[in-house]
Amino acid sequence: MPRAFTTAEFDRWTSGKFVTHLDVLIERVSGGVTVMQSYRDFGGVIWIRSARLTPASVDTIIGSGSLTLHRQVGDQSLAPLIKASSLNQDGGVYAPALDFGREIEFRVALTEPGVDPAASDWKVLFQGVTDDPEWPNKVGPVTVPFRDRAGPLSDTYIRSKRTYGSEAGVDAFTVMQQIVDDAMGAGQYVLDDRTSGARFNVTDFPVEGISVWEALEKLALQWGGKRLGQEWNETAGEFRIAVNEPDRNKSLADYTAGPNTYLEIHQISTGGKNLRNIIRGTYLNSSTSKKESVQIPAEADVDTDPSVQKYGPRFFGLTEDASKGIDTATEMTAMVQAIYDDLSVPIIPQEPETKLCWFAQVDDLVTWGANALLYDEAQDAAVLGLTHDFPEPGVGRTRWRVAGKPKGAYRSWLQRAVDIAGLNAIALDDASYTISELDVTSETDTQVTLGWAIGAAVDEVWYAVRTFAMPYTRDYWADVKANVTPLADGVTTLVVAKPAEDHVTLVQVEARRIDPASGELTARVWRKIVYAKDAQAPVIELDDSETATIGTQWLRIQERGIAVTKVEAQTQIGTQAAGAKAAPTRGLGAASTVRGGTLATGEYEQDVTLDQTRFSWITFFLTLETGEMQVVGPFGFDRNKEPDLLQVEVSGKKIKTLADSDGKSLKAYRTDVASTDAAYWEKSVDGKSYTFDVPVPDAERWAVRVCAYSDPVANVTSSTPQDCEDVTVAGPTASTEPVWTVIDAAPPANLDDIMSYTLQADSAPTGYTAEVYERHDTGSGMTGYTKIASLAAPPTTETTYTYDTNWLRNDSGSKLVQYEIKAEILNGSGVVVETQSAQASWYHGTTLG
Amino acid sequence: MAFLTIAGLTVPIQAGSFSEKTPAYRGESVRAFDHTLLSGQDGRKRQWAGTTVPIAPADAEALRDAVKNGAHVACTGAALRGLTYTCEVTIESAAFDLGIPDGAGGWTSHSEALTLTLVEV
Repeated sequence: MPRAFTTAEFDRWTSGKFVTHLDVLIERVSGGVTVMQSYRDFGGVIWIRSARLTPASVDTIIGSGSLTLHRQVGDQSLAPLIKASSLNQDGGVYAPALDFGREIEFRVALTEPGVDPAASDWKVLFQGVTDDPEWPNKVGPVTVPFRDRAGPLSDTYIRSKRTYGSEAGVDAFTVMQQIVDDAMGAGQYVLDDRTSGARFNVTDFPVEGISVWEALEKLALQWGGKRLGQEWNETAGEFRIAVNEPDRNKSLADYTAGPNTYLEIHQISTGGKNLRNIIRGTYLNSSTSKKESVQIPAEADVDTDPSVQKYGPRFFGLTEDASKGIDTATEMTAMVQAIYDDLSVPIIPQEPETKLCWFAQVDDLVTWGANALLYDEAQDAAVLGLTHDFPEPGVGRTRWRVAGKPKGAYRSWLQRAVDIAGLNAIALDDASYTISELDVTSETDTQVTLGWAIGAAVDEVWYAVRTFAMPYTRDYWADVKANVTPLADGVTTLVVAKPAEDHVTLVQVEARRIDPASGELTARVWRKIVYAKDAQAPVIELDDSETATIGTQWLRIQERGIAVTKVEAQTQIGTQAAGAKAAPTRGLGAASTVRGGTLATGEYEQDVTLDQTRFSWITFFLTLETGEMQVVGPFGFDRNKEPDLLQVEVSGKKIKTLADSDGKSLKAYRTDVASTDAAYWEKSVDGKSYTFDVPVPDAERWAVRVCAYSDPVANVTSSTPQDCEDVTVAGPTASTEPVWTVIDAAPPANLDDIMSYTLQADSAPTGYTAEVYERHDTGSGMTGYTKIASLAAPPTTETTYTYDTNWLRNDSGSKLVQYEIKAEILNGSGVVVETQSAQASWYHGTTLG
Repeated sequence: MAFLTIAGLTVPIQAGSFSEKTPAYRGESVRAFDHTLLSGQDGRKRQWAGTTVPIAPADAEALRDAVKNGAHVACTGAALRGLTYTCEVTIESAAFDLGIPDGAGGWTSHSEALTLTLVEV
């Protein structure tokens, strides 16, 4: 039966001309007492963003869902650990508004557009208890998962053995209430008895080491397969756990929804695949200690069974062991009869969607009006399950799973079968039917923690963790797949130990669901590869060339254990927006522009059209099988033929140097002595990338200039375009002048414009200071240096500073910005005694921070 | 009457850049299976967008300060037909005119053109 509604309320729903108002109330402490706090108005703010809930249904016996709330508005925050938020305080005492185990209630009101709901318009749609709120990410909402009131019953275990019933027999419903009272406290849960058939007396029912909910399920099963679940009690005005027996013979529809009310029929089929009309149940008889069977119809009656005559024999066999509680012929007969009633007629499963329907309940028999396209006669179909969705303000949708006549169960019968075909069918993409992709939530040297979110409609999560010797091959997954086992309900994390060197650990997590309408078992599989501590990242080799109009970057990838699953490239011409990521211009088998011959496995080339006055850029993006992305580049091509030094890094006595594509040769030489001096040193090399090994003696410091030239060494003259940078190279235990031992620059976090740089000097003599400069290039060439910090003394511990660049990092952005941080150490006379630089670059959008 | 005033600040707008966007509504109007329109929208909230002429950094900062953190501010002016709306203003982007060399190899930013979105609260 549907919930009570007035004619006006029903007419409003069928007309579809209404706005859906949603309020969610969650228990919290206020003024020292427990209140139900509305999140439609909490501190003057509407916090509700979206919600989805699935009430208990024929086969999903515990209703559940997820509520999404704004995390922060102004200074108010719902993040439970923001103790300063006024929402998380009660009279100045920390009292988080959100927590697990709080009562939660959903209310809805459907009103004409422009009309605010009156008090009488609000209807209670769901009542339950919150699970663990989550509030990850710098920018993100608070998500509150919840279950209906059966949730705490499934979480509460009966630790001490109790035996219910008596020699004379105690009514099963009475025993159920006793079990709940004993475990949860008298009066905490009032069960509803909605059965109509024969009673069932319990004589000896011991329980221990199982949850309250499992104990109730056992009794319901012995009582002829009764259905348990939370249902609305009209008289009490609240949801209660009910023991139900569907009216399988119902023939008069409760209400009608025409094609001017339903929006779409998402699924419809004849549903004969899961029709079963010969049901045989095998059990261990507690009196005889022998295995016995019950079959409906009996073998002698099979040929005359109406369903068999119409559809042919469709056998279904199941075995119930004694632990499930079925151990008498009476109990098994009742169960087999229930299965026969529920599976012996084709169900024509449908999934219509309507605007929100608050009064619909499981077992409602609904007439779905003819629509000319999918069926030309009205179809009566009973509600097996409902999902209510509130994706945005004012919008509510109900997705119905309907089929045939009211049923006690459907997919849970099919799950019991030992010889039924048609399982393991398809994967589903709807988020509610699966779990989210596995995320690495934390990582140490020895282990990785994986986490995921479970969709509301997922029934079970299975997993496997298997370790193999390297090299990794995809064939390993067959072994992983064969070893999956179920996880406990509600588990959303998995800690995986990192394997030993030369081994790899494969993790598979599956979301499983059996569709209540079709009975199909569906699964969505997520996989993760965990490597040893020192994972073997690919080695990258680079080269390039250019013509007057085209620049080409060559890339060779040498895998060392972690496979590269995808290679993409992105180009940016001058100050134009960067192009979309795409496969490189050339790959395996194509003629190589840069090196001649043919590109081999792992070799790629990307072309970019050259801006004639500004830099053009090429960046490669490598997707690793770990799911991570490795960015290679960006590489600049400068058509003004002026070489630019992109990198000059001093490390010990080495200078690592990289010029852009206009750099045809490099030279390093001392500037602190004349070229005629015996101690003068210089070195020139062809190419744009080289690491100079400077022969500075111990305890000495050399001032060295590094230059990039646009001609090869043999052709360099005084007029050759060049770009130079001065550095200091110190021999070990050099003079007492301090040097930078650490200089590093890091881009801002995504969607932030604050970059950071880290400095550490080996000493900070009295009177010595430091100055930090930046220069940057946003596509129009490098700016001059700008001082961004003056330090009273160079830091002698690794110290990180921040700098507001005004260029918001946006990994989805289209333009590149490059920053160079140059740090100098000055002696007491203000003379620069040490200079080093570091670079960082990132993509930015068009928004300034 | 100024063309546009936000939080009491006169905001000069580039000619032709100010426009009204599709309003936001609560609820949805959707068609049923038989194509019947099921109207269910109310609570219209208006939205506008425009770009300022290049303005001095101090003026840009004053505007940023007035609208930061989603502040609800009064928006009025001829652009809004003289009506006053309580708005949330977002500075979507700013185009800098790099202007004059600072003598140290860099540039002095001396004006900004801000692209704004105004949303009725």
